[in-house]
Amino acid sequence: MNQQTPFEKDLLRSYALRPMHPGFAHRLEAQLMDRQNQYSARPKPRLSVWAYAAAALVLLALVTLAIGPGKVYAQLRAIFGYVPGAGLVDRSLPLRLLKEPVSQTREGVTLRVDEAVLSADRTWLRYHIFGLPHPADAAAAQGACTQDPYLQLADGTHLPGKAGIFPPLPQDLANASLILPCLPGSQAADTVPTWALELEFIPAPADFKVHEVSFLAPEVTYATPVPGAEPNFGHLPTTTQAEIVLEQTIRTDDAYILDGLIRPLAGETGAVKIVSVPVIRDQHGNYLIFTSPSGLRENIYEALPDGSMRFAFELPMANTVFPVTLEIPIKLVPAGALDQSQFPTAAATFTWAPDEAAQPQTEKPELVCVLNETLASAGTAPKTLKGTAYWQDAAGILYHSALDGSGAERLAPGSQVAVSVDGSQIAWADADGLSILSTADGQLKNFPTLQPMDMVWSPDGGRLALALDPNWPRRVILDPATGSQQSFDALSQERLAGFSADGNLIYLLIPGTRGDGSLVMSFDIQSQTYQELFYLNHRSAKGPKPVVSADGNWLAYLGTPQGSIFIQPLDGGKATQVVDAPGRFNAPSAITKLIWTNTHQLAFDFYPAPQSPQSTWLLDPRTCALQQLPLEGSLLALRID
Amino acid sequence: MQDAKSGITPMAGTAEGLAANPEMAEDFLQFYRENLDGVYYFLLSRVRDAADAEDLTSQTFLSAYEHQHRLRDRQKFRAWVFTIARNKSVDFFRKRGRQPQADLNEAWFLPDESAGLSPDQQDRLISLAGLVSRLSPREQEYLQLRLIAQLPFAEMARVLRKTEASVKKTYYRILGRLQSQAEEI
Repeated sequence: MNQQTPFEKDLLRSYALRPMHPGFAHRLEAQLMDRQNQYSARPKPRLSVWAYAAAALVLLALVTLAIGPGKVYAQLRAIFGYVPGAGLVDRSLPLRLLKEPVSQTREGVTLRVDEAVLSADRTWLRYHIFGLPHPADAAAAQGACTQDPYLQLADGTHLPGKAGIFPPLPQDLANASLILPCLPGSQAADTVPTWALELEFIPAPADFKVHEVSFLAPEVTYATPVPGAEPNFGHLPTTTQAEIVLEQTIRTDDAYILDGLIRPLAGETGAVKIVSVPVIRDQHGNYLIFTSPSGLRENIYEALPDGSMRFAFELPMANTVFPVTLEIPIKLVPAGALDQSQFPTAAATFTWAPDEAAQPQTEKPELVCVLNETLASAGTAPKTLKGTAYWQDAAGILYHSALDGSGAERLAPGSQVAVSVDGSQIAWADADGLSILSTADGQLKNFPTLQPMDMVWSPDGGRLALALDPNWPRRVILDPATGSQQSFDALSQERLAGFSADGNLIYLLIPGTRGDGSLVMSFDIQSQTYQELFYLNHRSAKGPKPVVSADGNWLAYLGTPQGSIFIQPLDGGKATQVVDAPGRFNAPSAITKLIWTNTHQLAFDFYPAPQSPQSTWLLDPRTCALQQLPLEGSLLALRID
Repeated sequence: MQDAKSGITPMAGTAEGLAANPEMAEDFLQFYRENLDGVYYFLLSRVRDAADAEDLTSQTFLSAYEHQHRLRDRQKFRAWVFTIARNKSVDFFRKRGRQPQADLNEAWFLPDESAGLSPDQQDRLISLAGLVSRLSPREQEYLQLRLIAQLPFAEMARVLRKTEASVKKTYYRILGRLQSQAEEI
């Protein structure tokens, strides 16, 4: 590897390259191995999932020609339905489901299939792997297992699949085996026995919920870049407008899904780029929190070869007053343009309302604890308030000090600090991995193979849940006393928010920019089961940074617009806004850190701006009492005596 | 005998020949494992779309696997694979009718939950990305090959069909210009 200067390292980071999908390396290696096998064995070609998809498209084209485009949409509506998780399913044959969840456990590792939907065009399985130990060399283990799973039929046929999607099964077939030659992130197939689960399928009951899909005749609106800002690129063709095409809508139990695309005008050769987070407001101007429909598409946006950009937004039904207005910031980049940054941003805007008369009403907003004006008048915490603050200085050194910043002591160069509720355990991440200090006896333990990105303590301080390398598809629960580790599946770059009061559940948040949206889930450590709890309303698009209170009852998170904080009971009750201090002249702007203290107070700090120096605050959401803490540095953890 | 740089054993013959020699195929897989990151992130930095980068990476390695018998000098294996990757991306842009470019797309800079960057660090990186996007495609290639693909100057020279001294000089000239521009931010 080349030696790099700090500036070169910064340049490299400026590319902001997202981590490679962990399954890709395995898939490609399997392809290479298959290629070798083809030369030696030349098996007969088999139909892939995509072959079936292509066949479906050809069929669709034939249907269109046969009955005319005017009738196609109605026919499609009858054929396709939406099942969350499984996506759009072809109902031309009766749907079938998994008879019951099945699992297999070997040496503490469990493979479990929870759900299946069998349709005329595909077989969808939802399965999880639990209990895989975290190896000392994660990178080596990641490259080990390369084989994709497949379904094995009674006649020996193998149907390979990816991401839980397999080819359709014959309608008269009630059984198949799910075969995993090895588990992703574990050893290669030739070193471990194959995993095999017998699956039994039954007809979907009459009440199985399939949501209707409304395929719309193409309805086009136009987006035009901000006039006057376009640079002159001489001979290069310039795309000046884009078309917005809403292709289909789906109504689920509690949401609407809008699925469509933005494309350059016909005849143009440029490409549409979605350059920032879309803004969606209802009729009253309230921001809506959109998510990515589960299973409909892998990503919320998808760039197409013709320069179009597909989108799919799931909008909540509750408390939304229709019509809604969607503003999608785009750039229209001409073919051959060398410098995309020079092109103006356009708002691809359209308005949509469901074809229904009755609309739910928005509830009146409630009063919040902290406004900009409140911050200006709040006093400093009294000297009598005792505790310990953990913070990082500008040079990346961790310190702990009194709440007024006095008596600062250096911990280590590092990032991330987590303090147990009783203050007996302090964990931090540094160059040596994970370090844990027991304050009772001063013993320091180091776990060099664990490099946490995120960590939370159980209420009794006996276990630490860790999110490690984002490429590693496991989370780890560490018992610092014994060093034992238990791993569980990562879902979709989720954030660890905290434990329940009894320590049996870990709360997770699926981030909002991909996957299933800002969904709060719980993971039951004993049964190793996940449960979907609720979606966050008004959550920050950049990162809600969710944290669970010490009593396990409340979730606090950063909201939209920036400078706002919401708290929500974990039983799914209504979220309450407690801070509403958006950036204004002479006022703080973005909140960078949010912490629950052991005394159920919220500590947060504002990112410094020219007109407002960094400030750290302590709020009791029960009484709205607000105090400023005279701390310097970036707050990481706080404990009140 | 194994080439220490490329990690692959010199071989001759066709892809079919690999089946008869599993050790050779395993050498290629070993090379693949060691260089997948470099090829993928090099392509991702050019096409800026994960699905496209995966597709081009697959094409690159499959093509290299199929045609490795054409390469006489095994010392040049890694540079050859990156040349394939570069050509695949050029074809990709040609089909789409646009030039490779640093894609200053704000959506890329939404901080990942795991990124751990402060807002001012993010602002600086966005500014740097803006400066990089203003470089010519050829100049951007120098950065991509050196910073992202992590190629030594000798291998960059093979990919870019320049002398090593020329590549080194050009790279540091680009770097110096960016650094002085960055100080003005």
